[in-house]
Parts: sequence; C-alpha cells; structure tokens
Amino acid sequence: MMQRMQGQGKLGAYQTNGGDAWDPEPGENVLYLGAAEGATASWMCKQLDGTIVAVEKSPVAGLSLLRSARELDHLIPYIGDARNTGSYAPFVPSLGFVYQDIAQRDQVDIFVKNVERFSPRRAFLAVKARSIAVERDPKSVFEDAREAVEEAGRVVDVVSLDPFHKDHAMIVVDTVGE
Amino acid sequence: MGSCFLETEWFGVFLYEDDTLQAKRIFPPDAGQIADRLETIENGEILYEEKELAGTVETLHVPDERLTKLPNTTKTTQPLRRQDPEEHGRDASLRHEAALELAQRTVRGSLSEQSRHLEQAVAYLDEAHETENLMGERLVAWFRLSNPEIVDKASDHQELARWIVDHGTGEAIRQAHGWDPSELGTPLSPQELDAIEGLATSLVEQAESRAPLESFIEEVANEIAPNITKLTSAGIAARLIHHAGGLRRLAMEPASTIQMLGAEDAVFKHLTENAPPPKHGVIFQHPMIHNAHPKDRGKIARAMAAKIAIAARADAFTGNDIASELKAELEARAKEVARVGRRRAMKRKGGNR
Repeated sequence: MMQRMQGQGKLGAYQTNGGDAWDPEPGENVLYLGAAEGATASWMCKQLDGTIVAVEKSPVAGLSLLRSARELDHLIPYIGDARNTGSYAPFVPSLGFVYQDIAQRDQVDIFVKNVERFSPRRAFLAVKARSIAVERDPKSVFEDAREAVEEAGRVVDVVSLDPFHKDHAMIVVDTVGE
Repeated sequence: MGSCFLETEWFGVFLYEDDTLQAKRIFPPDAGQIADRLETIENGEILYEEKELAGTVETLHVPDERLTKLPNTTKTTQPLRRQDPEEHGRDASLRHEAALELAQRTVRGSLSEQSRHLEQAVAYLDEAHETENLMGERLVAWFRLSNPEIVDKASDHQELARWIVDHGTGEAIRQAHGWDPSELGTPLSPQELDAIEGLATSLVEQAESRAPLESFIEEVANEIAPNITKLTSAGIAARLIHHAGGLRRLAMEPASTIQMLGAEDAVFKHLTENAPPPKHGVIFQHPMIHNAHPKDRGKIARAMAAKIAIAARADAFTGNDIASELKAELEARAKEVARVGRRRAMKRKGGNR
C-alpha cells in the first residue's frame, strides 16, 4: 500500500524515499520551474520565508497559479517558457534553490541552462523518463540525465520517486565550490 | 580597467565593473510601468535604460541573448549579480505587484487567443441544457402516468429526477416526504420503473457534469473580460465574445451591434422579409431584460448594450475596473424605464374609463 508522504508532490516523494538534500535556510529564495497550478509552489511558500519565483508555461494552469499568487505575497508568478531564461531573469533574486518539474523531452537542457544562468546553491531536477524517451529503459535515461547535469554542477543525490511517481527520479546538484 | 557587466532586474538596470556597481537606471515605482518594461524584455527588445548604460562603456558582457543586440557585447556565463531593491528606494512588494500585472496580461492575452476553447465550452453548455430539458420533459410526462401528484409537487424536472434516484418508487417518495398515499395513477411494473430510474439517473448525472464546465467558463470569462462578466454574467460574456469573434472585435463593435449579437437570423429576416426588427440577442438571457415587461425590453436592451460596449473596451484595452459604476448606471436606467412603463400603463387604463 502507499506510504504516507511527508510533503507535497515530487519533493514529498523524494523526502519519503529517503532524500534529505532539501534543506532551505531562512531567507533563501527558490526558482520553481514548471509550477503548473501552483500547488507545490504554494506549499513551499508556506514552508519558507524566502521568495519563490514560479514559472509556468500554460496560461490555463497559469490562471490557478495567479490566483494562489494573489494570496501569497512572496510567490512571484511568471507565465512563460522556462527555456527563455532572459525573460524572467529580472524577477529572479539570488537563489538558494532551483527546483524543476517539467515533463519535456529537453528537460535536462532547460535545467542546465537555468542553473548556469542563476547559479543557485543547490538544484533539484525531477526527471520524467517517459517524456525523454518512452521506449528506453528508465534506468538508462536517468543515467544519461545524470551525466548531462554534471555540466551544471556536482551530483549529490539521485532518488527514485517510485511508487508515488512512476518512472520518475529526483537528481540533486550542488553548484557551490565551482 | 576591468570587464563591464550589465544586469537588468525588475526595478532597474545595473552596470558593473567586475563586482563593483558603476552606474544604474532605476525604473519608476509603478507596477504598470515595470510590467511594460518586462513585456519589452519578453519580446526580445532592448530597454531604453539598457541602451543608455551600454552607451557609456566600450565593451560589455551580458548574461542574456537578447542583450547582444547592443553594440560591442559578448554573452558570457557569469555569476548572478543582484542588488537590494530597498537600497535603491524600491519596495519588495512592488515586485509582487508587477509580476501579477505582467502574468495577468500574459494570461489574458493568450486566453483571448484561446477563446476558441471558451466558444466550444459555451456551445456545449447550451447543448447540454437543451438535452437536459428534453430528457426532463420526457421524465415528467412518463412519471405523470403513474404518479401525477408527485409530479405536481416537484418544482422542476431536476428535483423530480433527484427524488426518483434517491427513493425509487412513487410509494417510497411519498413516504420519505410524509405525503398521503396516491389515489390517482397506475402502479409501475418493475421494467417500467427500471427504465424511468435510468432516465432520472442520466438526468441527474447530466446536471452534475455541467458543474465543472460552468466553473471553467466562469473562470475564463472573469479573467478575459472581468468588466463584462461583472456587468452581465459569465455565460453572456462568453457568448458575446464568441459571437463577435474575440474580445478585441467585441470592443470595436458599436453598441447597436452588440445589442443584436446572437439574433443574426432575426436581423436578416427583418432586412429581407419585412419582419419586425429584433430587440435583443444574447443579452436577452440577462434577467434584467427577460424579467422586464415586454414593452420595456427593447429600451433596457439598448441601455445594456451601451454599457457592455464600454465594459468591453475597458477589458480589451485599458484593463480598468469600471464594472460597478456601469452596473449602477444601468440599474438606474432600468428602474427609470420600468417607472415610465407603469405610468404609461396607468394612463391607458385611465383613458378607457
């Protein structure tokens, strides 16, 4: 049977499955890529006292995100593509974390691009194997993703999100010391 | 001399020599004006402030592709340089305001492009309504054969369907409500009861499945056209936008056209076949019009269309919230129309005496 998750969404699954790299310090800010309706982002907002910049591409999901953001004054919504880092860069403060949950084929590239542009202390990538390559074995997809994110920093953690999110893994990268 | 770097933040543009701030251009403390600048950035264009600062140095390193349009620039990966807005006289809450403003513009822009979804949803809602009414009429007619008193007690077919789904037979419904046993009607065979229950179940489900559709329409209409929605209703706003072919087009129509939107057939009948001109199209659905005296409807429809035209312009172009003023003016006018109408009716009565 399903275990109870500690937190919300994929981050919650990561923590329940033993990941402990999510360690926000007071005042640290987060760039959240792929915020969707903003459920996890608002949850994060209540956990942290820093600013959360939430980027979501779909204007329909953006409606709900916008509604949450009206209530939470340290949630900064941005409706647009996470590939165009320059478009939302003006909103992004110095960061503790980048957290990305985008089911796209080029999700790893998007991640690397954002980590390089905004140099956070630590970055989380929720990899969805099935949106990178449906036909390949998820394990080998995760392996490739891990190698590719080395470009952005040192990989400190890789945790499978089964059974909460099938064929997903969380990859955590540290940029400090570079 | 060290290398120069340019960074644009939400409240200003900053020029650094290595890590030392050399020059700055701070944006005015207004969410709308900040959102304007961020929109310019989104479109890949250069801000006036950026051009100004870049003009003061010979070569420049920039973090974004967009800025390479400036002369003598190279794009480099560099650590993020950030200023504290408070030190430059800008409150952090302004960022939240500007972000909301910008996101709202983006959502509104793309949703009105996507108003085709809204059109489909509205069309489906109308059809669902029609189907439901047909099924409801059938249920009432059929159940009346066996339980006429119960049918008369139900306020509408939805209520009747719910009773049948909850209790089943006429006997059970009567017991549940503590009504007297039936004297009229004939008992139902199990097969007949099964069939009627099936019909009642679909009717209830149909009504329930409409709820998410309605909330979707409500949400989108409120976001795209808050003024029209508040002045009329989400359904009317959505239908008007649908008939006009988009919010911008609606905003450019004269009030007289808006009054007729949705009554195109009647307009052509009037033009070709000598039929009387229609008084109202989609806006007839507003209770202010369909509850009015038939003689007053044309006048109220004219007033309402005029207010909608103003509301549509605010929604499409300025984004100002003027719905409550418009609504108050419209209500005053409707009251006046009704008052004059009553006096007219009384006069006529008096004349006959």
